[in-house]
Amino acid sequence: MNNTLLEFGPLSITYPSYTGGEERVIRVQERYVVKQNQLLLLSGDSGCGKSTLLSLFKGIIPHHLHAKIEGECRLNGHDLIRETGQEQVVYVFQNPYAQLVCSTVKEDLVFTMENLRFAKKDIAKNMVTFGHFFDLFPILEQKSAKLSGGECQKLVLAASLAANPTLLLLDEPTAFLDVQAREEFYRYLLKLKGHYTIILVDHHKEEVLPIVDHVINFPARTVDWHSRELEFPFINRGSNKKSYEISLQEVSFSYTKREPWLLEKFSMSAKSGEVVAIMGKNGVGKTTLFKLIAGVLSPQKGAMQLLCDGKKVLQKRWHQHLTYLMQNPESHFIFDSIVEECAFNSKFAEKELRQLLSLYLGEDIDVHKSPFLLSEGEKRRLTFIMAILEGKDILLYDEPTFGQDEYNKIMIGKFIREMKQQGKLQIMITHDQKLATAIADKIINLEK
Amino acid sequence: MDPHIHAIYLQNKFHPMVIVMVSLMAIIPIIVQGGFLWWGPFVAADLLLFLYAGLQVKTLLKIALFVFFLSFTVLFLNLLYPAQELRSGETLELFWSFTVYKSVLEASLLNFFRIFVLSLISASSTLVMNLDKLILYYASSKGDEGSKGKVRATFLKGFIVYTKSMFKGWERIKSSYVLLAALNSIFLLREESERISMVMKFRGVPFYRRHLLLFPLLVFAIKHSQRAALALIARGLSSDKVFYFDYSLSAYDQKLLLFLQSFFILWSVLAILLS
Repeated sequence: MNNTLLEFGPLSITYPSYTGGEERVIRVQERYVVKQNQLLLLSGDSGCGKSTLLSLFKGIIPHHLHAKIEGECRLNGHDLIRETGQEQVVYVFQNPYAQLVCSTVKEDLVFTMENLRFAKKDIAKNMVTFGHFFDLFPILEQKSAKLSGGECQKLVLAASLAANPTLLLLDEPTAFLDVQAREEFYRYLLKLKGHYTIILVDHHKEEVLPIVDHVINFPARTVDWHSRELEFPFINRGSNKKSYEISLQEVSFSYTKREPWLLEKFSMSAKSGEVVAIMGKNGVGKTTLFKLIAGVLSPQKGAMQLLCDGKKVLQKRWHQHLTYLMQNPESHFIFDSIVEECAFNSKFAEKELRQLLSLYLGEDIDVHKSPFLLSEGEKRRLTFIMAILEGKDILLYDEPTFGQDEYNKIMIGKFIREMKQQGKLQIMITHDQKLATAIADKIINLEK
Repeated sequence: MDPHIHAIYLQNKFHPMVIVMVSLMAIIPIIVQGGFLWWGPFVAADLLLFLYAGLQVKTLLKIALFVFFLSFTVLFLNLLYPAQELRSGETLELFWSFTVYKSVLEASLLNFFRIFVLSLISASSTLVMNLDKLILYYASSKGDEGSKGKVRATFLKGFIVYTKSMFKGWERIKSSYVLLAALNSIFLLREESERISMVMKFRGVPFYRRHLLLFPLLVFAIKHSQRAALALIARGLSSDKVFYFDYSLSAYDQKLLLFLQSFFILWSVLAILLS
């Protein structure tokens, strides 16, 4: 019996260049067959074309996003390149916020089922099953836009699974989940195995490998980053070499008077040369704590202080001593070229700047290109260059390894170690247990 | 989202169509330049209804203050640059040596009141109205057949038939969900704008260069709109989708609308006759 669901390859997908630069070509050299109810992992570096393939399976490319495709791709015998209307294929994107359509959690949960014309009783049944599984009942009436990243991801996953898809495409579904939620998700994936055909893109390869039936490995990109030596020149330049100490004593915080404390009687301290990792479940208040540490928010109760060489720094001046690396690297970019981003407030000579950029982003990097046009990994590396250039002595990282491939994760780990050797005070929010255990001096587990 | 506004959303006492209709009852006479006798009672009734629907007095006063500045600017411009046909007759001296024609002052004050009331009603109705529900109500009403027997109120029916004629079937579903995605993205845009502002502060961008915020925000908006459009495709939005939740008017809302519309028609006739 032929139980082939999807066949693809050899394939070549070419994205046209709108900026006059080179066209981006993604190639699948071999022919692959995905059988019904298989669980498949697409593996490879950031930017190698995994998400593009998923878009092709859903019919987004070439029917909604223009790209030139040569080769073959068939789902249940239908030519995906020439035919549209793959309703039963559900695609879960990397960024869960972008997938929320309705205003409340309960409406979003049923949205895909409504589109696939499920009967009301089936919608009700699936809503209970998946709402319960992903623990969505306490937030069912909430506004979707108010959800934390993890809650949002859980909602999108629940909505997709509830739609009982023929083919489920998951593009880094666990990126926003905490360790516990991620483990739970993999356990659930194991339960789904054999009942659904799932194609998964996930950078937590070690955790996923025991579950999946088959792995498709994409070859490395033209620049072989893996073989490169990791160097961090100029890392100690511009630094004031001052000694810092930050402390929070019995701090309580809530965004409104009506809500209960998000953080209650929380205390911590850290000093120069230390790496502190803040971990905890989604929605527990990690980002809020970070904003308090950064001096952006003030607690309603308790005390916070930042000491620079033993002298107290006024809270309104804390930002002058800190570098804040956001989860989304794009939030850092305010200029329209890479070189402008780096040159802003930098005391480095142009030659040194170019040396740094070619080291981190490749020798052929066009420094006049918009930073928004870089790949996700390159964007993250650029934010680290910006941190070196700023030369501040306290660094705050919000999920530094989020959405990064193995190479970038190693690079980030090494960067933090180097910064530690330079005596910088570093605090990071992370769901990456491996990274936290490997490099942090203190791990703070936030609990509700 | 402002927790206060969020609280208002939760306190929705009426279907948003009721709020739309009662707002229109006050706005239409103002737009057609009817007398105070015609629109005055409706404006008062609207404001009372909004307060009952959950709008707080403090918020209403804040809106009134913003709206006052807007209207005052218009008043000022009207006084400075009056229409040619009004520049005749009796003159008045205002403040120290500012001379205006009486007819100009009267027309400017009338415009001031109209703009003030119009903006006040529009802005405060937006706060008490659940826009998402309104959009989904529009999306879920399945053509004329679907609404037969449900919509008894003639004014409301006319409004729905008119809006339906603008977009039919698939277009209605698409336009509604695009609107809904756009509405939801306002909060994301606000959050992104806060994040970028924070980064700019940490990077030491001087205050006079904070306008640079617009560039990354525009990039975010363009990227987000593309992602949202793809999400609608990825989640299988279709023309013949079903609706699990009920967004239609309740019997209570229908009765209320019928009563308000009848009263509006009677009052309008009376006001026109009296004036």
